[in-house]
Amino acid sequence: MPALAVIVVLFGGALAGAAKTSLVPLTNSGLGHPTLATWRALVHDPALWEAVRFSVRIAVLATALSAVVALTLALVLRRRGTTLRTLVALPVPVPHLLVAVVAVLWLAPGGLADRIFGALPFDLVRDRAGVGIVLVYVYKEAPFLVLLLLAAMGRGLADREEATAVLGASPWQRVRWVIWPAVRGPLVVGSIVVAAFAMGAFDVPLAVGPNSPLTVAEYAQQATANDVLAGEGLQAAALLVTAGVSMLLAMIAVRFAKDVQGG
Amino acid sequence: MLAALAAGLVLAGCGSDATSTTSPKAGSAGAGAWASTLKAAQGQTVRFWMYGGDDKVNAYIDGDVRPALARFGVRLQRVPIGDTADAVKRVVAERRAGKTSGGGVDLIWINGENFATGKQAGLWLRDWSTSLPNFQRFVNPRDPSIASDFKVPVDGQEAPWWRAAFVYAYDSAKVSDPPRDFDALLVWAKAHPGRFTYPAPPDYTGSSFVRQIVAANGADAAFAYLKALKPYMYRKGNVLPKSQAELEQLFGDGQVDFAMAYDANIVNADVRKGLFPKSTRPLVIGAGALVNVSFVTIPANAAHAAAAKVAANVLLDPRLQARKADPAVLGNPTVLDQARLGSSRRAFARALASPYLLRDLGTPVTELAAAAVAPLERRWTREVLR
Repeated sequence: MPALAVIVVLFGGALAGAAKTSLVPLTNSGLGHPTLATWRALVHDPALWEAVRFSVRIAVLATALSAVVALTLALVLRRRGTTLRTLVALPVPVPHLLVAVVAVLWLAPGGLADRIFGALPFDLVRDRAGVGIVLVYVYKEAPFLVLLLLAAMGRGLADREEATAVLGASPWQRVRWVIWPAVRGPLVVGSIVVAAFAMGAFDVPLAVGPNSPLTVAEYAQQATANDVLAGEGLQAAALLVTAGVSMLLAMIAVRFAKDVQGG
Repeated sequence: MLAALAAGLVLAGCGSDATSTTSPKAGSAGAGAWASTLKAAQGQTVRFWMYGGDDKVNAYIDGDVRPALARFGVRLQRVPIGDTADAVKRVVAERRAGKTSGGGVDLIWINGENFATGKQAGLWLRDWSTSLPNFQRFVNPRDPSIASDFKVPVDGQEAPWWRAAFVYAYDSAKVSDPPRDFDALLVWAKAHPGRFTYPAPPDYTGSSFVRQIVAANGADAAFAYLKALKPYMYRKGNVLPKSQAELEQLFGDGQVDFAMAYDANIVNADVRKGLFPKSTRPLVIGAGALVNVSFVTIPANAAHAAAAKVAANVLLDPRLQARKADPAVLGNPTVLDQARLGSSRRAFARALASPYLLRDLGTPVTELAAAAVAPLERRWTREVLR
C-alpha cells in the first residue's frame, strides 16, 4: 500500500502537472484561463502524427526483436556456465547514451568505419527507417530480458521438463507447455518496460536517429527550442501522448500474452 | 620597448575608463541612481546563466569578468547551461509558481527569439540597460543592431555585449577560389558533388544559413535555391549534420570543404584547437555577413538585480571589450561605438592583425523578425528535408 501511494503521488502528480501546463497558458499577467488551444494545435500538426508512427514503429520493433533474441539466448544459456551468462549481461549496466555515442563514433557518416573501410554501403546512423535506433535498443535491452528469463528458468523448470520428456513430449511441446508458461510473465513485464522506455527516451534517437522523422520525445524536446512559452504547453501535451501510447502498448502486450496462453 | 610602453599606456588609459564607470557623465540624478545601485550590489552574488559549451568564453568570464566585478564587491556565479531556453524555462516556472521576487536567475545571456518571447510575457526587468554608465558613454543607441533584437525593440530590457557575424570557413590549400555568392556556391557544389553541407535546422547554425539566404533573396527564391542545392550536397542532402560541432568535425576530417558558424572567430578558434588545418581561412558568402548583437537580460523577479546591472555594465567596459576582441582571447568584435572610444580605441587594434579574422564583413545583413524564425524552420523541414 505505501508503495502504491508513492507511485500515485510521483506518477499521478507528474501527469497532473503536465496536464495543467498543457491546459493553462502563461500570459503577460500571470496564469491564464484553461483552454484546449494547445491540444488543438497539437492534434492538427501532421509532424506529431508522423512522430507517433515513427516512435511506435521503433518501440514495437525494438521490443519484439529484443524479446526474440532474449528468448533464444536464454534457452541456450540456461545450460551454460556463469562466465558466458556474465558476458551476455555486460551491456545491462552500460548507459544507453554511451552505446549511442560509440555507435555514432563508429558508424556515422564520416565515422571510424567510414574512414577505415571507405564509405559504408548502408546507413545505420541517421538512416530514415530508424534501424540504428532499433539496433542500439536491442543491444541494450535483450541482455536485460535474458536476465529476467534466466531467473524464471530455475531448477524446478528443468525437473518439470524432464518429467514431460519422460512422458513422451516432443521438444516443441516442452517449450509450448512447460517453458512458455514459466517465462511468459517475466517476458511480458520486461517487454512493457522496454517498450515504454523506447517510446519515451530521446537521447538515443537524438544521437543516432535521422533528421526526419522525429520521435515524439524529440518532437517534445524541439517544441521549446524556438518559443519557450508556447512550446511548453505543446511539450507537456506531446509527452502526455507518449505516456498514453505507452500505456496502450502495455495493455496490448498483456492481452497478447493471455491470448497466446489461451485466455 | 616602445611597443610595451605604448601597450602599457593604452591599458592605463582603459583602466581609468573602467574606474570612471562609477561616475557616469549623465546628469547627477543618473549618477545618484547608479551610486545606489552600486551600494545595493555590494556583497551580492550575481548568478549568470549562460551557454557553457565554449571553454574560451567560460575562461573569459572567469578570468576577466569575475575579477573586474570583484572590485565592486560583487561575486559572480556562472551557471552553465546547454541551451538558453533552459534559463528561460526556469524563469517561466517561477512565474507559473507565482514567485515575483527572489528568483534564481539574475542575468541571462539571451538570444533574440527567447528575448522576444519573454518580453511578450513580461518576464524581463524594464528600463535599465540604457542608463548603465558604460552604455551611455560608449554605445551608440541608434545602431539598429543594438536598438532592436531580431526586429523586436529592446526598450531598455537587455544590454548588448557580444557581436556575432555569420562566416564560412574553407581550406585555402584545397579550394583556391572559393565561391563569393550563393549562385557561385551552387555552381561550385555542382562541380564538386558531396563536398558541401549545413546543419539541419532547427539547429541554430543551420537555421542561420537558411535565414541568410532568405534575407538576401526572399523566402520563395531561397527555398527554390535550397532544393536545387540539395542533390549536390554531402550524402545527396539526405543526411545532414545535427549540429555545428558535427559539421566542424566533418570539415576537420576533410569530408566536406566548408564549415560555417555564427561566430566571426570560428577559424581562429578551431585552428588553435587543432580541429581545422592551419591553411583554413574565413569567408563571407553573399554581399555581406548575417550579423546580430547578443545581449544580457535580467528577469523581473531576479533576487540580485543590482548586482546583475553592475555585471552588465562591466561587460561593456572598454578594457574587457578589447580583451574579448583580442584574437588570442575570443576574437569577438566589440559592441562599443569606435567613435566614442577615444584613446582606448588603440586597444582594439590587435583584432585586425590575424589571418583567421575577416577585416571586412561586407554590407551587414540584418536578422529577420524573431517570430519568422520558427515558421521558416518548419517550412525547411517540409519542403527541403523530406
